[in-house]
Amino acid sequence: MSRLSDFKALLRFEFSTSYRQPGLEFLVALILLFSAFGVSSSAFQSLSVRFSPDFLVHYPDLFADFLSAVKRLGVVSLVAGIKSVYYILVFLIPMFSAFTIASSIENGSLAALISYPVSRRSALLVRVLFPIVFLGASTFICSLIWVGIFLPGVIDLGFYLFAFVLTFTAIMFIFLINSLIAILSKRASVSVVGGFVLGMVFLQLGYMSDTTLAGVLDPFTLLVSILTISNYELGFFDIIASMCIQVSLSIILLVVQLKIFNRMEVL
Amino acid sequence: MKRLRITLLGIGIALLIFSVLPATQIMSLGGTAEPQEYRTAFYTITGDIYIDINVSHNGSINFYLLNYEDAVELVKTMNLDTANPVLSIMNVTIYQNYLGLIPTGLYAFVVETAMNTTAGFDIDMIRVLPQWGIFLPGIIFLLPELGFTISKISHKVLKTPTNSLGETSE
Repeated sequence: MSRLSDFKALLRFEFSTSYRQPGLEFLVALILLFSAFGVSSSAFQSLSVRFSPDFLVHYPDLFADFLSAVKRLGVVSLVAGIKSVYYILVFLIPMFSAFTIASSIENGSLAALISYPVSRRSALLVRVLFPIVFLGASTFICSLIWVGIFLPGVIDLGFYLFAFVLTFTAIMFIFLINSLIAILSKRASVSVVGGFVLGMVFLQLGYMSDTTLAGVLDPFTLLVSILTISNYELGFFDIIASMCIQVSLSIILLVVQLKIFNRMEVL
Repeated sequence: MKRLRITLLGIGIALLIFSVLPATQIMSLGGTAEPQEYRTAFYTITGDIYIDINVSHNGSINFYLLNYEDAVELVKTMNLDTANPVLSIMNVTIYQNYLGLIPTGLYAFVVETAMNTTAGFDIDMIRVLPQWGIFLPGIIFLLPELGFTISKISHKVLKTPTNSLGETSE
C-alpha cells in the first residue's frame, strides 16, 4: 500500500514538473485535429443503396446487410481516426521519450530525482507508463468522439473494445522501443533522430511487408484493409497474432530497460 | 484548473480549424432513376449544404432528405409514406439552394422519379464553410477561457482605485 502511495506521489510530482503545461494540453488538441482528419476521410464517404419495393422479395437480407454496412462504416471510421493519429505519434513519441528520459539523464535531473528515496524502477515506470496511458487514451477517446459526432447512433461495442486494446498495445510497443533508444543513447538529440529513422522504417516496412509483420509495425493500416474485404472476420487472426507479438515484445523491452536502468551510472 | 482551461482552449482551436477546412470527399448522387425505384446515398452532414439538382432527359424527380432513423425505416419498409423528410422537393428538374440549420449526423438523400418514366439526374451537395456543427462546439469550448480572461481584465480594472474624474491614483 505504501509503495502504491509512493508511486502516486511520484506520479503527481512528475505531472507538475516533467509534464508542465501547456505541452500535454496542446498535444490533446493536436490528436483531436488529426483524428478528425482520419475519421472524416472515412465517415464522409457515401453509402449508396439502389432498391425498389420488390427488392425485399428477392433480397430479404437487405435490411440486415444495410445495418451491417452502416456499423462497418462506424468501425472503419474509428480505425481510420486512430491510424491517422498513429502516423503522427510514430514521430512524436521519439520527442516525448527524448525530452522525458534522455534529456533528464543528460542534464542530470533524473539523477537528482533518484537521489531522493525513490526506487529507480518507480522513476522509470512513471516516465514510461504515464505517456503510454495518456497517448493511448487520448487517441482512442478523440477518435471515438468524432465517430459519435459524425455517425451518431452507430455503435459496435465489441469492436470498439478491440480497437481500444489495439491502440494501447501499438502505442506501448512504439513507446518502449523509443524509451530503450533514449536510455541507451542518454542523449536527447540521438534519441530523437534514432526514433525518427525508426518511425520511417516502421511505416515503410508496415506498408510493404506481409500481413503478420505489417500487423506488428502498422496494425491500423492492416485493420482498415481487412475491414474493407467482404469476409473480414478471417483477417482478424493476423491482427490478434500481431497484438500478441507486440505485447510479448513490449514486456521484454520493459524488463530489459528496467535492468539497464538499474545498473546505469546516472550520477 | 488552469490545465483544464488550456485543454478546453486547445480543443476549441482544433474544432475551429477543422470546421473551416474543406472536406476531401464530394457528396453527389447521379445516374438514372427508374420507375418504382429509390436511389439513395447516405452522407454525414456537419453543417449547411448547397444543393444543386439537374435532371436530364424528359423527366422530373422527387428529392427527399431523410434523417438516419427515417432512412432506416425506409430501407426496412420500402415505403416513404411514414417518413418525415427534413427536406422534400417534388417534381423538380432544376434546383439550387442552401440548406441550413440541420443537426449533425448521417442523412439519406433519396431520389425517385416523379412520373412513370426513366429520369437521368445529377445531384451535387457542397458543404458550406464553416461547418456549424463543428464550429459552434468549438466556440463553446473557447468560452470558459474567454470568460476567464474578461473577468480577469474587468477585475483588474475595477480593483484599480480611481478619483472622481475617473483617473487612476497612480
